[in-house]
Amino acid sequence: MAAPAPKPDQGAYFADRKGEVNELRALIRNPIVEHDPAKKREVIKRVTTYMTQGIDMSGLFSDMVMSVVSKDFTVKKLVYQYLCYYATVQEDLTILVINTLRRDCKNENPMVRGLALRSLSSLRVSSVVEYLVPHITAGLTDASSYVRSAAVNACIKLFHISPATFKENNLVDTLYEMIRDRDATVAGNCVAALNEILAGDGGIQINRPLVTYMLNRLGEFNEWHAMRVLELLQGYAPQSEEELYDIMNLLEDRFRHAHSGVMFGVAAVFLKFARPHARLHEDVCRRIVDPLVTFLSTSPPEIAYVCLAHARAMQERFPGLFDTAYRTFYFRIFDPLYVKLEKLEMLVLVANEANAAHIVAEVGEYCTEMDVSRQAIRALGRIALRVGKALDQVVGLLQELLAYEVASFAQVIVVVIQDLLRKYPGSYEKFLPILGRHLYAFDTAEAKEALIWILGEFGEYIPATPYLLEQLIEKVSTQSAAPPDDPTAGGRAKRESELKSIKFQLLTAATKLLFKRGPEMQQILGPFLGALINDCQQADLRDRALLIYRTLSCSARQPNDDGLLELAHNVFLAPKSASGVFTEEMTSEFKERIFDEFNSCSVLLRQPASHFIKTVPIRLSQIEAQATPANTESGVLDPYSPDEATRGAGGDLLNIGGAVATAAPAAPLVSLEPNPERLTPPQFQAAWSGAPYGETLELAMRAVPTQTDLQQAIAQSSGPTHELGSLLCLAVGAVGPVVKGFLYARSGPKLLLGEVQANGAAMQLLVKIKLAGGAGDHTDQPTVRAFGAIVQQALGRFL
Amino acid sequence: MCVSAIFVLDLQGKVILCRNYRGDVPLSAADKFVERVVEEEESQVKPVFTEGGITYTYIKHTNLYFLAFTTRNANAAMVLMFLYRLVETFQTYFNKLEEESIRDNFVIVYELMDEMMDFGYPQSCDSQVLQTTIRSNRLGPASQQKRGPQAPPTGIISWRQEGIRYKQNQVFLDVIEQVNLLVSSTGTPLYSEIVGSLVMNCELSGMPDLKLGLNDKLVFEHMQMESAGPNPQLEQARQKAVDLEDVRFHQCVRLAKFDTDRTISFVPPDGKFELMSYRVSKATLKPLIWVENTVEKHAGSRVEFNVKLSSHFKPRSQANNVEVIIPVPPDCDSPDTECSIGSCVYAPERDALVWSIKQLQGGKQYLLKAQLGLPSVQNEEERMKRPPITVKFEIPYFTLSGIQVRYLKVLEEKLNYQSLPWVRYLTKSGDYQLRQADPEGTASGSMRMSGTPAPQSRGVGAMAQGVGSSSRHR
Repeated sequence: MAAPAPKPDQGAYFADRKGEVNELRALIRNPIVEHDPAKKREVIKRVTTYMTQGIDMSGLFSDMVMSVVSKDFTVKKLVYQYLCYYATVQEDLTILVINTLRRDCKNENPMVRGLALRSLSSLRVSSVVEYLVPHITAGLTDASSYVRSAAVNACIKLFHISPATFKENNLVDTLYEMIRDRDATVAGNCVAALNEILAGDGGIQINRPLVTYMLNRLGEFNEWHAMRVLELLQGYAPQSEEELYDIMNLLEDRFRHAHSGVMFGVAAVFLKFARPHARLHEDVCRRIVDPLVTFLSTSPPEIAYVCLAHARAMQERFPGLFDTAYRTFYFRIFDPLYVKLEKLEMLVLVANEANAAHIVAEVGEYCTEMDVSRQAIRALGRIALRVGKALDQVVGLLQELLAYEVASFAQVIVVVIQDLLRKYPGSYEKFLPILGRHLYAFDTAEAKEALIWILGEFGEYIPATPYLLEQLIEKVSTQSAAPPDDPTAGGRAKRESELKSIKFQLLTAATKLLFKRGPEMQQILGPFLGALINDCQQADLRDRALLIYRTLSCSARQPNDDGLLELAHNVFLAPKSASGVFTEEMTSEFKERIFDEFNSCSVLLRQPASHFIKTVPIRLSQIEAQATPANTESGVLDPYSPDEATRGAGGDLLNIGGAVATAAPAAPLVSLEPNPERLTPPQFQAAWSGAPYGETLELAMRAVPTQTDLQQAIAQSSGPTHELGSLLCLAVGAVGPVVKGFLYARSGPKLLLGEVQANGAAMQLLVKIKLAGGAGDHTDQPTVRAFGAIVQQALGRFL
Repeated sequence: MCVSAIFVLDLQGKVILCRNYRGDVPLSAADKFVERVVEEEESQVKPVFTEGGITYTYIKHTNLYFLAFTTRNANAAMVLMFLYRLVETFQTYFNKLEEESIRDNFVIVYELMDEMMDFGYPQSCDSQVLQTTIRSNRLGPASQQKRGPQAPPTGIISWRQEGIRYKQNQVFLDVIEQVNLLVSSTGTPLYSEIVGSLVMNCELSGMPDLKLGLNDKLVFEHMQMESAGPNPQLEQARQKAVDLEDVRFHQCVRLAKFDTDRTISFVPPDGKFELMSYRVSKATLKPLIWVENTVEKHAGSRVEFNVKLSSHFKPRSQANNVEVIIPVPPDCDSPDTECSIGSCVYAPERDALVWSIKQLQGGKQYLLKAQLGLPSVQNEEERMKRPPITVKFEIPYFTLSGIQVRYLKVLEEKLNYQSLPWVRYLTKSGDYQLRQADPEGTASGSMRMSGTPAPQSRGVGAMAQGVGSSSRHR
């Protein structure tokens, strides 16, 4: 950890910080203090206080190191705390404490042993590693479960400080054995440790005996460890339907756990297991509704928010799931805004023919709550879009709201009305009383555009339309002439683009109306067109104006030819079909994929983890243990094989960052079929665009391949007799200096696809790899990378 | 799923303390939090958000933010629960958890944070277990100096230590029901539910095994199935029994046993804990306390409230500490109140009249008359607000759902002592709201703000009229 920079504002609190440090140093060294435990404790406390407040206390490091010998347990804890805090800054001095910590690791008191081991492993400096290992090994077999727990956690820490040392000591095997430790805390920590350490290699290896064992012990685990075990179970694929139901029955009672996290954990396991069985999947979702509703109404707001986000994901996937529980989503007095907004979203989603009347009445109440009024009004509109039956009631409420003559309401309402008219153009009469009475000069571009659109479409029913349009046109013309009031470039650009789109909208509306209310509109449209054609900087707008002008003048030039006029009429006022489904309502990939990452932040953030997680796990299998020489064995390995981690699958890279370019070429984690079924270009295209997960290799190129070179390289490097199996070339081609090649291979049900781009200008070779038929998430990573290595090998002669 | 670091910040976003468990996030990331939460517009603020590969999860407690960083796709519920557990634990140690108490006790805070989480993984967070290893002054003199620090309990029952001794063995069980209710302006309940919880305070020696019997409907159904012929007594009991929805238990309860025969059996932790919770949602729950408010606006900008309160529970029951909060327009002055029971004060900071009644008997009606001076100018946002009336109360010896403890058996095989079980019942208000109607003017200028089925309700047909009249009021 980097030492936090002292914060100036806090520093001012203690007028002379240097003085403080010196004073404390004097105090620590003072023999009177040294021999009085109570005084000593006070001084150490002060040091820690300042440290917390961000004041740099690293100057006292050597003095604090001396204090660690103290017999006082509280002082010991505080000093450990201090040492862990500053160890990385004072790495050379850290060596001094190690001996004391090592001695403490052998203390007779298990608490001291545990604490010392925890602190020793938390120092995060590489010089500790060699001393750390014997204590971890000893700690793992300690009689006290407290020490064993600390030792298991120390394994994860060691793994992060030095993966090579970790591997060398075969700690993975030890941890696998310790899952069956008689103490639940130790076992739970083992699960967590293995899950994290093996994350890069596809996670902990889980088989049926382990699952059974874990399920039987589930009651012993505290809630945190239970959650970890449940997370572990998610990774298991039941071998038969019978087993699936057995596990689910055993887990069922955990829905009664008082802890929402455990409930979510069980839900995630259920959903994962049921995923391949469409019917069961929905049933499981139904099973989750009740507990979710309970936690929603009894939990603190943040947890309620989590429940709501999950409920929303489920409702979107299985519409109707929460429909009967709609009252749960009514606002409560102390709901914070984020809960209210999420509840509004749910109220829209659960509205159906049967409950819409209640929901609309309730949401109508929220429209006058200032902090949510805009969203509530929009929600009303969305309910009416979903449930046609609610239209009358919603229109009534909108009318009532307009009567308040609050500008911010009207702006939203006009947009809502636009959407409703697009969906229900036949019901325009219902809106006429509203439109006839309450039309304002709106501030927002969105509201303006909505109003103009409505006027264009339904202007014949609103008497004041021509005058309103005239006003709007006048305003727009004067606005463009006026100097922009927003001095920033960004603001100006935004304003200009808003103004432009309003002008487009006005032009369209005015033209449409010309056919409906010709005499009045002619006076307005003519000058407007003229202004746009003669004095307009935006080419597209001017072109549109010209187009309209010519079309109109063409039909006007032959006043006797009704056919031409009618033609123009038909063009501009072609009947529209009512909008069926709005894009917002359509199914998206998210709805399906979210179930892979149920019970995680993905659901809350509404995006897959790969979008917001940057950490790439270390791949233990890629780490070479320091002691053993490079293992050249390059047999075909199952990525999930349990002993793979310890066998060392070759490669001589310390792939800590997990950077793609360093994926070892000699580690085929994937076996390719020797004689795969051929693909046609369209099939390839479909598989390529359908594959969710991909990676790119960037390689420096020595020799520039021609198209034939590339084709040959791919064909020769493999083949039916080749140990790696077949790599097939689909096509090659060249675009400028870039030679492109498409290749593919099969591995069981998985289809591996690759695109090679050899850029002769940049002397760079780009290999894009995708996997179709995989899990679609990070678990595909090992396979994709292994395939990347094979391709890299095949193209070796250019590199 | 692991947490990288935990921060405690004040409401301005200043860091009070931080514990960087994994060292994989820069501490400057806290500044991003300030940008996104303290300075951002409220409608954009969410309790979980992500930025630059770090996921931020936080809760707010009094004047503090508890913030967790993760760099993985964490289990959001777990992180939040951990933060809440942290707050809970601090509270048991310092009574009141505020910025000052953290500053005053940061040594214990650090010790706790160190013990509760290791390298980002929650460890044992049970406060009873923690108290064996970490002692604060409040919990008595640090005994660790004499006995030395103790290892936390181990073995199969992680929530209870061996060798607990009490002079007098007793167990207290509180059955607390919270009523959440939302009633429309027309008097129809829109939403009602009872959230119950059984809180146990256990002062028992050794390793006692407890069995709790409730009048759970399913238990009787179960018994009926097993008894041979029709049993009228059982049938009667069944009808009085309660249908509990979504029951949840403390970790100590044997869940499998409950699922097979609805028996609640457990080895309890020592001290106070929530044994179980349940929910009963009744679509038509009659309000226990009903409030009607008629508002009259007089010329000379005075407004008069006539509030009628009726208690709809049994006359032999009694509600304590009743508080009726009646929202009034902001910036009123010269209040003049008169009530037939209790006392009423004008609370300008809440824009409300607060009518407090120490003890309220069931089946009674009381009146409150209040007059307030209105400000001459009102802005349009204020004009539209019609916040609901809220009521707070507690009714002892009564459960709204009708749940009852049939027995509580204590069995300790080795020590075999007599113990005293104490059971108390309490029903209290949770989110108890009575909505007020749209102001509906009449020619005289008076308007009804709430009441029993108002003649002109919020039906679609009535809306046009409502609109017309409200504009007349302006």
